[in-house]
Amino acid sequence: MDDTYLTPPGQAIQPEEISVPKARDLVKLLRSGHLAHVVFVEARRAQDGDVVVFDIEPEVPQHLVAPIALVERIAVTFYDDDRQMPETVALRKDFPRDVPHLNLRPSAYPWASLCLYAEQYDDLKLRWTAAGYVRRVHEWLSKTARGELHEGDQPLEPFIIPSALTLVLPQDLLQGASEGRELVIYRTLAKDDRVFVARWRGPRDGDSPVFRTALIVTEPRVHGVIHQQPRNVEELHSLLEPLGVNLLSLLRERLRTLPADEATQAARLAIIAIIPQTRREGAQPERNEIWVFVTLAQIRDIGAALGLWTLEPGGVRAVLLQPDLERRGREIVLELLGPVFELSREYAAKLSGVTPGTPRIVAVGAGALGSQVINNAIRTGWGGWTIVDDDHLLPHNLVRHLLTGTAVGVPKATAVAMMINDLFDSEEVAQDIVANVLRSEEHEQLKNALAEAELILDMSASPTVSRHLAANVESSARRLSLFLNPAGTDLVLLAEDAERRIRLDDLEMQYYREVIRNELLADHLRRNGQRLRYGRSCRDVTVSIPQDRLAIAGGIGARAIRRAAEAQEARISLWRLRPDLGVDNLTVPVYRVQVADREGWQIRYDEGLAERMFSLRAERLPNETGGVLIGHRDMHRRILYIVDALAAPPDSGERPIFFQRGSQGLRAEIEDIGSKTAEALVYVGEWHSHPDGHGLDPSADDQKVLAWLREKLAPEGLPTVMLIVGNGDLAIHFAGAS
Amino acid sequence: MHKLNFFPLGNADCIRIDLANGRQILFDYAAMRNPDDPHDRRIDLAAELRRDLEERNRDYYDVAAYTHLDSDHTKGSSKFFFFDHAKKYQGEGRVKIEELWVPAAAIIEDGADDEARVIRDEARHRLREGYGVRVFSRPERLEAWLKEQGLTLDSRRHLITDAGRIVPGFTRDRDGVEFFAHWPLAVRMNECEVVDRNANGLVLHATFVAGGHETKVLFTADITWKEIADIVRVTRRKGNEARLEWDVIDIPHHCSYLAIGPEKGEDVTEPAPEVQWLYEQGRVGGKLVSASDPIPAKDTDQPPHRQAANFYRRQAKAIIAGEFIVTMEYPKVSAPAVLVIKIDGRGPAIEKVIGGGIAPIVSQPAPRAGVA
Repeated sequence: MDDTYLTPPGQAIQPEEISVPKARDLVKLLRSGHLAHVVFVEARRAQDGDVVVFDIEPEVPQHLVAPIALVERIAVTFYDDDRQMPETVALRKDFPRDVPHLNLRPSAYPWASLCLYAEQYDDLKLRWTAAGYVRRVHEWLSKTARGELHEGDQPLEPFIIPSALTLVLPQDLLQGASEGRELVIYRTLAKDDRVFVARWRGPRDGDSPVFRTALIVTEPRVHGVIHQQPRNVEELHSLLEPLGVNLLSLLRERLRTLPADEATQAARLAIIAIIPQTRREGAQPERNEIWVFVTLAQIRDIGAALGLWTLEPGGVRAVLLQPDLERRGREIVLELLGPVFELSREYAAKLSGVTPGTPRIVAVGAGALGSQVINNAIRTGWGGWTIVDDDHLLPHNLVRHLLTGTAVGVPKATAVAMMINDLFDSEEVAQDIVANVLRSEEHEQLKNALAEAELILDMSASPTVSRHLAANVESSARRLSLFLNPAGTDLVLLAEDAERRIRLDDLEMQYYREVIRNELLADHLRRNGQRLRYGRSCRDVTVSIPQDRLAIAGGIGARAIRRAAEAQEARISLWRLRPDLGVDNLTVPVYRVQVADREGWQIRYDEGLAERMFSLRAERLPNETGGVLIGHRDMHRRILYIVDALAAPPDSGERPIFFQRGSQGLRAEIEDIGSKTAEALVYVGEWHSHPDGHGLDPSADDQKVLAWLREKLAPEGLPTVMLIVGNGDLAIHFAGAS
Repeated sequence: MHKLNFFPLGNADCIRIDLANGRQILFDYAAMRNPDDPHDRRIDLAAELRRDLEERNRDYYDVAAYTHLDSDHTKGSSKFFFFDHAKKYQGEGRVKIEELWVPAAAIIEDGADDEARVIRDEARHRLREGYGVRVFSRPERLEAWLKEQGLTLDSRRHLITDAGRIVPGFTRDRDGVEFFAHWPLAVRMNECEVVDRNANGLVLHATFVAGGHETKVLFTADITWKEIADIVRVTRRKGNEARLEWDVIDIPHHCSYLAIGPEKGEDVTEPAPEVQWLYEQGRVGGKLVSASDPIPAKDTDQPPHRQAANFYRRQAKAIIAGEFIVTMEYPKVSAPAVLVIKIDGRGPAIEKVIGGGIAPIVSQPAPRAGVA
C-alpha cells in the first residue's frame, strides 16, 4: 500500500479464503467486471469478519464542495454473524472528516466511517445486493463531492449522533434552564433503562430520582458533526471548553451543593448540555442541539474524581477544603443518551405536515364520531377544545370510541379531555363540561364557553341540538355540524359562513332539499331502505356500524371541519363510503336566506327555492302555474322553513288567467319526500305564479285558496303559506293556526 | 444541465452537445465501426445517435457542424443524414439538419469525393438557396464562388461567420451557450495549391452557462501547432484571451504530436511556445479529451503518439487535478463507452455510471419468447 492510504482493518488473505457470504459476493462482483469505475484491491481478515478493499471512482465535478478524490479506496468489513451493518471506511489519509453522514467512532479509530444507510440493517438485509452496495458507496461519494448528500432543506446535522438510549425532555427546556429550575429523571414503567423521562422538579418530587442533573447552556456553534465521542468527564470538558463552558468547575459547584444523604450520594449524574446551532459563523441560532450524558458512577464517586472530597473506607466522604484541581474526572465514564422532546402542539403540526392552529372550539358531543374527530384534529396541533357531553362511557360505546375500557363509567367529555391533554407536555389543549347543551342557559361555565368560542362544532347527531346551537345560543361563533347518516355510509358537514348569514338550521333545510332532489341520496336517510321516523340520529345503540368505517368518517371529518373553518363561505358537503372502499364527495350549492315575520311566526326560505319557482313560472308563460310547497315547521321556535316547490301535477289547469292545482301523483310524491327525509320535510302550503303585469297581490280567487288552506290546517294547529310568484319577485301570504 | 458526449470511434471524431433546453448540436459524424468485425470496439454511431433521438422523440439536429471534410470526420454521413440537394439522400428514417456548419474550404474545394462531395454539395445548395447553413470564413473569400453562382456577397453575408466573431443562433440567455469562432482565418493551400483541409478546419470556443457558472470548452478539430500558434497570437493581440480559457479541451488530431510542436521528441513532445501557453489556460480540474485509439506503449507513425500523450498528461498535472482522457480507453480499453461530460453549476464532471441494475433491461426490448 502506498503512502496515500491508511492500512485497512485486518490482515491480508487470499480472496479465496473469504468466508462471509456478503464479502464473497462483493469480491466476486468486483472481479467480474460487471460494474464500471470500481476495482478490487485485496481481501483481508479482521478479528470478527472479512474485509474487502476496493478502489472506486466517484463522479466529481470540477468545483468540489468536499475534497473527494477521483479515486477513493474503500474497505468494508462484513461481520461473521452478519448482525451488524457492514462497516465501510475510507482509507485515504486526508479523506475529509468534516462532511455530513460519517459515523461517530471512538477517538482512536483511524478511518473515516461512512454512514451509507438510514434504515436499520435488519431492514436493509432484505434488499441487500453487492451491486446495490457498490452503487450506494458511489452515490455517497459523488453526492458528498457536490455537497448534495445533505440537502439544504434538511435539518442541521446533529452535533453528536444519537445513541440507543433515550431521554425525553420537556419542551420548555431552554426556558427552565434560564430560570435555574432542576430536572429530575425517572425510569418509565418499563424499567429496562432504555428510555428515561425528565421532568421539572415539582413539589411532589421528594423521593429520589434515578439521576441528578447538571443543565448547561453553551455559546452558539456552527453545525457539523463531532466524530469523536467524549468517553469521560475530562474529555467532555475539553469538548465544551471552546464553547465557553468550564464543565469541571460547574460540576464541582453542582456536586458541592447536593445534599449529603445516602440516596443523593448513591444517585447517578446526568449532564444535559444545550448548544445553540447556527448554519454559519455569526448567524442566528436555528435550533438547539442537546447532548445528554449519564455516568455509570454514583455522585459520591464523581465528587471524589473531581477532587471535591476523598472517600474513606466504607464510602464515607472526607470533604477537602480546597478542591484538588489535578483530579479532572478522567475515570468517570460517560454514556451517551439520545435526547427527544415531549410532544408540543407545534411539533405535532410539523410532524403532520400542517400548520398549527388554536381556534377556540366548543365541541358538542364526545361520542363515537366526536371523540375521533377531536382526537384527529388535536394530533395535528389544531384547536383549543371545550368538550361538552353529559353522557357516561358504557361498555358498548367501546366498539366505536376513542376511549378504552379504563374510562368506562367516566363522563365521555372528561375522559376524552384527559386523554388528549396527556398528548402534550406543556399545554392544556382541552377542558371538559359535563352538561346537557340544551340547558346551556342554566350552566354558567358552558354559557361562557359558548359565548367566547370561535367555532361551535355540533357532533351530537341530534337535529335538536344543532337547532338549539344555531338559534338559541348567544355567541358570535360560527356553527358547524358533522354527522353520519343512519346507515353510517355517509358523512355530512354543514358549515355556516364566517359572518353567519346562512345559519345552521337553514343549511339543514338546503341539505334536505338535496336529499329529495338527488337520486343518489334517495336512501341517504333510510336504514336498510326502511323509512325512519323523524330524526336522523344514529345514536341508537342498535346501529351496526363498524369502527373501521367510523375511523374513515372521523378522518375526513377532522380535515373537513378545519378546511371549512379556514374558509369564509358556508358549505354543505357529503362524503359517501362506497362498498369498494372508495369515497365519493358531493358538494351541495348553498343559497342565501330570506326571512319574513308573520303573526308571530318566522318564515325562512332561500334563494334556491325562489329561483326554482321563477324558472317554473317562466317555462309556463303566458300561463299561470303553481304547485305545493315542501318545508319544515319548528313548532317550538315558531319557524316555518319553505324548502322546495313542486311543479304542477299533470292534471292541473294552467291558463293565462288562472291556475288550478291538480292532485295526480301528488300524495305519493309527498309520501316519498317524507320517507326520504325521515319525515323532516312535509307539505307546508301552495304556490302559484302571476303573469307579467299583474302584481303579487292576492286576487279574490287567491284569497279563497288561502282561506281553504287555513280551514284545512288550522284545526291541526299548523300554520301554512301561499306564495305568489311574479317576475323575479314573490309575496308570502300566511295563514296562522289561530 | 448540459452534456457533452464523446463517442469512442478510434481515430475519428463525433461530439454531440445536448443543451439543457433540449437543442442538440453534432460536431462531425464518423461511423467508423466495421459491422463485420465482432472485435471492433468502436461504437455503432448511427444506432447510438438514433437511440438518443428516439428517446427525445426528435428526428433532427439543430446544428450539424463539420470541422472539415476528411473521412475521419464524415464517414457514413451520406447514409445517416437527410440532404436537401438530392433525392438520393432523402427518405424515411434519415436525420434532418436544421443548420449545417462548415468551414469555407468545404464550399470552395474542388475534386472532393465520396462523403466530402455530398456534404460539400449540400452546403453549396443551402448557401445558394440562402437557408440552413453557416459558413466559417472571412466573407471575401467566398465572393468569387458566389459570383460564379450569380449571387452577391451581401445577399449571403448573414450566413457567413468570420473568425473572431460570436456565432449567431445560440445565446447565453436562451440556450445557455455562446460559441466564438477562432478559425479558419482564411483558406490555406498546401504546397500543391490544393485546399489543406486540416489547416482550414473549424475551431470553436463555447462558453456554457449553467447554475450561474461558466464552463468553457475548446473544440479544435485536426489543426496543427502552426494554426494553434496563429490562433493564440491573433486572439492575444485582440485581447480575447478569455476565449482561449478552457475547462474542457477536445485536443487536436487524435493526439498527434504535430498539434503540439514540430518534433515528436523522445518521450515527450515539446510544445511550440503558443501551444504551451494555450494549455496553461486550462483551469483547475480541466479535462483534456483525446478522440483517438488507445495510447500505444511504443512509438508509432500514426497518431495517437505516446510522446504527445505524455505532454498532455504533464499539462493535466500542471493545471492541478486535470484529467487526460482517451475516448477509446474510457472507461476501460476492453470496453470503451460514450464519454459524457455533464456541465452544471459545479462545472464539468465526467459522468461515472457504475452500471448494473435494471436500467439496461428495461431500456431495450426483451428477447423473443414463445413456443415457435
